[in-house]
Amino acid sequence: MKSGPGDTSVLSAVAFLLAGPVIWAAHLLLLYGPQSALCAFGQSGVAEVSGLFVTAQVLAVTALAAVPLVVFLLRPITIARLFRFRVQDEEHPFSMSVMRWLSALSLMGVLLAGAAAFLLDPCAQLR
Amino acid sequence: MTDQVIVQLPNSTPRPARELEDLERVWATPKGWRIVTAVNNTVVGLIYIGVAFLFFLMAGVLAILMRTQLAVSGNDFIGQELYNQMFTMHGTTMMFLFAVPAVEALGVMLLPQMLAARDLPFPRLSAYAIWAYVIGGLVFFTTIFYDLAPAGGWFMYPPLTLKEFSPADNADFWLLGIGFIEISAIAGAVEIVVGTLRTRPPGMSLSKMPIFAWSMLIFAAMIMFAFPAVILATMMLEIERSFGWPFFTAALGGDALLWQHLFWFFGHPEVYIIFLPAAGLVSMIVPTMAQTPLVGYRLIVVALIATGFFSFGLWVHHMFTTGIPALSLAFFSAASAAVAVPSGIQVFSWIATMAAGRRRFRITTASLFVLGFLFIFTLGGLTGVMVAMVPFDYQVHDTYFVVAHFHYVLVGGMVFPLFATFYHWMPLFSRRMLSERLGRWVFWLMFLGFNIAFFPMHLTGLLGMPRRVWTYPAELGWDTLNLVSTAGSYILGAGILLFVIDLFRTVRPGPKPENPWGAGTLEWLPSDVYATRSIPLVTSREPLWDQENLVEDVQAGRWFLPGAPTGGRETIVTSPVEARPQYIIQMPGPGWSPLLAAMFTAACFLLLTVKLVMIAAVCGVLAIVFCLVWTWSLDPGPAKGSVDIGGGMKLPTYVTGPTSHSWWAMVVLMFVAGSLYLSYVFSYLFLWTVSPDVWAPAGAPQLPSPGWPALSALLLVCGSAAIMAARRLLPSPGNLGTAAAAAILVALLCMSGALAIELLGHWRTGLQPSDSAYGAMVYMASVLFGQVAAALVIMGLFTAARLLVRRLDREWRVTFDNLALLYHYAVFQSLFGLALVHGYPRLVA
Ligand code: HEM
Ligand SMILES: [Cu+2]
Repeated sequence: MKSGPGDTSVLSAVAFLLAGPVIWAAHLLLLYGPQSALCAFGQSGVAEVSGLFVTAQVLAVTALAAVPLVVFLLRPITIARLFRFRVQDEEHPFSMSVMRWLSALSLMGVLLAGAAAFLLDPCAQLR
Repeated sequence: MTDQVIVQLPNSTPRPARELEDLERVWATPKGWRIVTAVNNTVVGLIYIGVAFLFFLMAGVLAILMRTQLAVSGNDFIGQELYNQMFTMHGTTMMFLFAVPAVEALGVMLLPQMLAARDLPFPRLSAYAIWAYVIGGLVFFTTIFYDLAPAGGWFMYPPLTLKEFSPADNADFWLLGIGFIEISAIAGAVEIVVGTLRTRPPGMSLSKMPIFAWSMLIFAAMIMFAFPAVILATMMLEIERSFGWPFFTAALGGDALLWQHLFWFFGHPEVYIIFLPAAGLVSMIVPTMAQTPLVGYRLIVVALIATGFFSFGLWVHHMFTTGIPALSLAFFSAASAAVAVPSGIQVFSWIATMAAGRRRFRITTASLFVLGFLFIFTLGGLTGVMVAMVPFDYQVHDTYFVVAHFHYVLVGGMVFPLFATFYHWMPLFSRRMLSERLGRWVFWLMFLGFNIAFFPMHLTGLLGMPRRVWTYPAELGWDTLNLVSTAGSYILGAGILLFVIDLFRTVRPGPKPENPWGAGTLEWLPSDVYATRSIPLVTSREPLWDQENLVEDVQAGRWFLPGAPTGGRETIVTSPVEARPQYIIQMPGPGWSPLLAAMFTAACFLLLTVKLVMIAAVCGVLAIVFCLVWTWSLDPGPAKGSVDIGGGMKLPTYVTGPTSHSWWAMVVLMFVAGSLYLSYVFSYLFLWTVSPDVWAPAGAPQLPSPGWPALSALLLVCGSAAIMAARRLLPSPGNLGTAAAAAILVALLCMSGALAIELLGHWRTGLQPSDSAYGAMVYMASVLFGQVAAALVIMGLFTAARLLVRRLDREWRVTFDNLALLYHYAVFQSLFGLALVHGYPRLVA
């Protein structure tokens, strides 16, 4: 068994491999949190909330999340360096492809969720 | 490990005879009735899976009784109230007492073998978790016999479950009973995270880890983040029922939807918590039966991780019909559709592997169950995508369509793989294998029975039959379909019965037959109570297929750690990514304390339920005492130095700091505590958006003046400083640590003082927790603060005691490091809490 210049820290590994899904999670949070809070305020009359603002908010957050995901997809090596994630041998292609696939799936999730803002009234309730 | 390439085996043969004797003595299973003190994974794992299966059978009997009641219209075999208790107990038992424990049990039993580890890193913790579950779970289940069982459905929605509408103790049994089963699941998760990441054999880097280990790692990570939400929810509902803090009462600013959010933030991941390990098992069986490596190993890893993540973004799909804005629903509908993609990836990988085999895919009972799983689970997945669409869900919500859907995914996705596992891995635990001939019968009875029972439910659902009804009138035309369902459930039951008969007829514990299916992974190495004779260097995903002479060399002790050099139980700890050997972990052997601690934990919770508070408190104290007795011997100290594991490799037998397994366990616990706290923050903000009118300053007494939280914060910071001082004051080896112990006591006083000031400050303003949802939330922050503070006081006194008897010093210090970690975490959490409770209302005023 060869040994390299030290073991990869599990923190770097987690940060690198899960970078895409973490963006997806942040996106969902920033989509759902403000949107539902704003609609709740509009309803209870705490504040005047314009529907257009909510829609714009959703689209902006989606665009904001999509950018890093595309970067992850295209430049995984840069991201690996950013998180000080260094592995050799068979580990390397394995980690790169896991990370990219996860980013691709996350991108799909982000776009699917964000697209709804084009179609639906921002605060209408189904009851 | 040193810079060298191993070209020859690390140990030469013949090995000294003493070595094997040592291993056998050290790892011997306690004899006779003392077996209950055993902590070895092969023993407690068997008890675990056995009891989980027993719960499956008992909940299954309830199901058959319910189906009997529903066979014909207007039936009065079972009355309404009992029926309510039955579906609640059936659902609760299946989800909490069967499904999660069963997969956790498989993890405990199979992981060490797949990783060629001698045991998982915290054997006594496993034993404790298992006994708490066995005792508590069995008592909980018996409530169905004396009309005390909960009746609010397995998700126990308020307001139905509030004191007003469910005045008796039934609901409390659910809340407290489930409460400590959650604790036991979390204990198991700690074990599994640290086990998969740190006790792999040398060379088994992440990209060579068996898929089952991957799936268990993700399973455990999901438990860490999902279970805290339901723990908080059960705490709040129990507090509301007992003391009237109105978290869920709309009239006082609470909201029943808060329960739904918290419950499903746990509940949806829960179904993947159940499914992922099952999928992991399938990913191990399919390559064996196809005699070819898994096609798309990487993609399967991707699919497991992605499912784990996405499953946390779906919870609102259980709440489509609650009047949430359509756009919010769309976000969750999108995520629900997205989560189907990774599952699809796995299904295609399995099919591709079957097709890629060198020979024809071998049909055994296990592979039949895998094929049955593919069929049933895929159908369940399809109906899942249907109900993920909001308009469709509006039609079928709370009908039998949903009952059909979730049984297709749960039985298809978990029970069928479980039976495949029984047939496939039984040779590891039994001298005789289950009968393949009877196995065909078992499979076909179960497969046909299942579909006959559940397929018609899609139709009754579409015809409008609601779930959770004890009977229905004949005019509705549901009779025939229901009769067919009931007949199917009897056929399914017959299949399971046949399996049980075969189990008793053939299975005898004992040494295993050698690798009957020609599998490639390490669990099929010859092994004994001490696991494998030596621990190999792994260079392939299927070492048994690719590494020549592996079986002989392992068995002859030519690989690492062929003996028990420290004279106790031990295994190799490796680095988390590349799996390079780092140190030898010394593990505790059999003992009474985990069992006793578990008994008293269960007793404490159950007695609380029936409001025997004093006796419950005594049991709680005893539980803590036994936990302390057991942890007292856990930190063995550096006395044993380094040992040789072969190949000139000397490994330390004691490490401290971030490489040590106990540091890792503490970090895992901090994540659990952190997500519990985040659930609280979410609840606070959620209730504020719902009823800003009960919030201070307008709707409640003024907040205490800023001096109060400032003083609390100051004390917390001083406490942290005291802990840092204690670190510097740790004595050198062999000396008394009076000064460090004193610093720890100061830190504990600071922590308690900060809590007291926070409580007193609010109390003086006249705010009461039962006034409004706001009051309840404010005091709930202190409840959570008090919880960690109590844990810290116990740990702190324990640490101080060790300092005073010379069992803790600058080198022998794992206990102290754990205390310090938790303390700093608690300070951080509490400062955040002070900012939220005192700052937020001022900010938004
Ligand atoms: C062994 C065959 C099984 C049969 C015949 C069966 C049958 C039933 C029946 C009749 C109901 C009640 C429907 C109602 O009145 O609304 C039910 C509910 C339920 N079952 Fe099963 N079941 C089986 C296995 C399972 C398994 C393996 C699981 C989970 C792992 C499970 C989880 C549930 C849940 C969560 C509920 C909902 C309870 C509630 O409404 O609160 N079942 N099942
Ligand atoms: Cu769900």
